[in-house]
Amino acid sequence: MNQLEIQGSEKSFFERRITRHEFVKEISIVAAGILGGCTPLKIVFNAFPERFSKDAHLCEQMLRAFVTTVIPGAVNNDTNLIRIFRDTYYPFCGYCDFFVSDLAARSANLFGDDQFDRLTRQQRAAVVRDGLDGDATIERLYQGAIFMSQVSYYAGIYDDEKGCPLIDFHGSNYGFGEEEMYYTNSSLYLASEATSDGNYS
Amino acid sequence: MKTIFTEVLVVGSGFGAAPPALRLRKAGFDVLMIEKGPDLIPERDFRQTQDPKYLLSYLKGIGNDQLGFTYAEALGGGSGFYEMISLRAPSKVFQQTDNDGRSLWPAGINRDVLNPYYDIAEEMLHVEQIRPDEVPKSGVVFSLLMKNLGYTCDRAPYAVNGCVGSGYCVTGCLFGAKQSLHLNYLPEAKDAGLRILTDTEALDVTTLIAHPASTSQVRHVPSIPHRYEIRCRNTTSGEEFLIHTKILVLGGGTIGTAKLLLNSCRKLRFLGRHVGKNIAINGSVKAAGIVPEGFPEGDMFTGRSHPGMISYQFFDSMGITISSAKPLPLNVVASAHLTLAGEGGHNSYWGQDNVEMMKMYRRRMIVLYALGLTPPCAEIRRTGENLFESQLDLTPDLRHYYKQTEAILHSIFERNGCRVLNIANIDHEGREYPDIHFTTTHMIGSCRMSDTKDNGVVNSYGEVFDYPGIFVADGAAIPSSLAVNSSLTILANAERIAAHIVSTHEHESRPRIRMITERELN
Ligand SMILES: Cc1cc2nc3c(=O)[nH]c(=O)nc-3n(C[C@H](O)[C@H](O)[C@H](O)COP(=O)(O)OP(=O)(O)OC[C@H]3O[C@@H](n4cnc5c(N)ncnc54)[C@H](O)[C@@H]3O)c2cc1C
Ligand code: SF4
Repeated sequence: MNQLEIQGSEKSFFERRITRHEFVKEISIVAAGILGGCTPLKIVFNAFPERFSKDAHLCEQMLRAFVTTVIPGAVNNDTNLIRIFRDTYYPFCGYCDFFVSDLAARSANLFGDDQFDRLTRQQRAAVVRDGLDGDATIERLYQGAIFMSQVSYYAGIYDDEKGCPLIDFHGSNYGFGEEEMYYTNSSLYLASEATSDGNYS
Repeated sequence: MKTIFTEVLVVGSGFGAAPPALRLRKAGFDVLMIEKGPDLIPERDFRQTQDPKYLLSYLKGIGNDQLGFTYAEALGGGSGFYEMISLRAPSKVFQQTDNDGRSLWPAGINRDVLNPYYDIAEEMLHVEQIRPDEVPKSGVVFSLLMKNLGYTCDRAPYAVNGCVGSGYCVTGCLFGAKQSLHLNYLPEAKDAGLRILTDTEALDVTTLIAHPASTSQVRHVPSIPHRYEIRCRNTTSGEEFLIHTKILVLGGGTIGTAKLLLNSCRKLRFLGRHVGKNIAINGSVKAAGIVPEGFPEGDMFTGRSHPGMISYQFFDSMGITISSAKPLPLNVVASAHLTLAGEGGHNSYWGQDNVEMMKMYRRRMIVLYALGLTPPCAEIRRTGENLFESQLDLTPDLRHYYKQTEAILHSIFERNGCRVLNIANIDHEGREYPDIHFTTTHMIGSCRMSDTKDNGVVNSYGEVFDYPGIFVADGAAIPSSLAVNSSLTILANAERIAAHIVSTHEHESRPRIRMITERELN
């Protein structure tokens, strides 16, 4: 197991809290703040296996396997699949190598193979669940990684035009055909109205 | 330090700020507007994207475990990003009282009084009720859910003209269809000579004369001394400068205006104890469900961002209205862990179950939200130099309201054979909030209007008690939940306050004659 020293840093947490830009749309209430500050704790790495910070290809394979575990059906060789993890806009970037090393450690621990990407889908899911059951910091790390995968993939944030074909999200567009937007017989479905102009008196 | 002199300073450029800027400039006042956020030219700056970097550059929030408020900081305030649904507050809204039986609204303000100002606001924004054939599919499905239960559901009025249905209203309209303030109030005011400084934040306010109250009867603008000094900062260069003004109109929004006045409390010693308090959360409760096989499909992505329908079915009995909503994938993913309720299986917010649910998202998911007459019980507090926190007292009544409202939304789904989804709101670390969590963009009332200083911050015309010439014209002045979306009421009230300022002040200078441009002649 990697030896970790977890340093609580109230100050950096506080600073992040007050500068984070949590945005919340009316219904959707987007708590995207996680994207702006994944963990309040500074993780200091001791005996952190250099293998994962040195071997970019290995890291990439593991991250791709992680995203396709969280989102089965996501296209493994999609160029943007794991871009968010290396995007310096998001502080998670600083924890990415550590996250990969933790995936490896859990894989080895549970299934005797530290290459997460070589495990079966069920095994990988078990590793992710194991991370979510970890201590508070590890749980946060896994929550953050799941969240970032979903935001990046479902919302297609690195390719506005493409969107996310998996969920039939078309991305940016400049207008649909009438038949796509409206029912021609909508009056059949509409309920009776309580007002003459939409405003209640 | 550099000092700018003006007769009127308007802080902010949203729904509360734009009418005073336009009306006062047209009445001949020398008006300067400052806006903390960046300049925004719709066709140049708006994008059809869900990139958080883009959205977070305009949309900001404050919140805690119990609540989350979202607002925009950019030229035009929330108007650039809103969903254009433009509703008048029902009459009953103005009859709400506090626990002591005191009316929340100042005497004499009611729907009838606001109606002429709603008329003006609607005309400026081209507000029209959506036609039946323009109701987006998800609005039709919502209406059908209500119809099946024998309930009413009304087509909503919108501030839109020439919509092509791109579905990206909340990231900004590229087509000149959404009637944001960039298309009406702001250009008209600029044409009339309004000066606007963007990227400029008002930091605090102080008095320039010993007894501002002594100037309350001076109504001849040239004779009013420059009585207020506003310390400002250019948000890009960091440079600070001062503005001296005779009249100060605050339109920084419910949160922005509260922050500015909280920062000024030491210098404006008579502000009173209500600044930042009595914020109404407008009773916002959400629910999501999957319509059964064979039901007409909705569509989360096509047509305008708001589905076009509102139901007043439960307004008289419960004080709530119900609409549906169309969050984009980013919104739904980043806001909540959605899982299918029931069936006892492993319903996770990630993995195969989640993918299956997201695949149904576009066509079979319906999101409902209620707005309601909850009491003004949230607060924003100053905790340090330009540091703030929010607070909401989750009283038993508020919990009851939440549960009861959620039960109504669920029962609409269940009685239509829909599967209800579990919604667990997540915090900034991706973890589920432990308790009820209210979130809204319709927060109002941090510096509320009132008949007396004992009960509020400003009088019925938005003028701050004991500080003549400082007006609050935005959402901060609205004293109660509205049970409908807030922009039109803020706009109408700001028109009323602007009309009051113009009618109670004399100004001999005439507005500049507007030259007709060559383009208009052609
Ligand atoms: C995504 C979204 C969708 C919405 N949809 C709808 C809808 O469909 N219908 C509806 O009725 N309402 C809607 N709303 C709510 C509506 O937009 C707000 O109620 C409205 O914008 C509030 O108006 P306001 O004038 O009080 O403040 P704002 O519009 O927020 O304007 C305040 C402005 O002041 C600026 N400011 C703040 N502090 C300072 C300072 N110190 N110095 C200088 N400038 C400052 C801010 O940057 C901002 O631009 C929506 C809001 C959002 C965010
Ligand atoms: S749906 Fe209509 S109003 Fe909204 S962004 Fe597209 S064109 Fe503009």
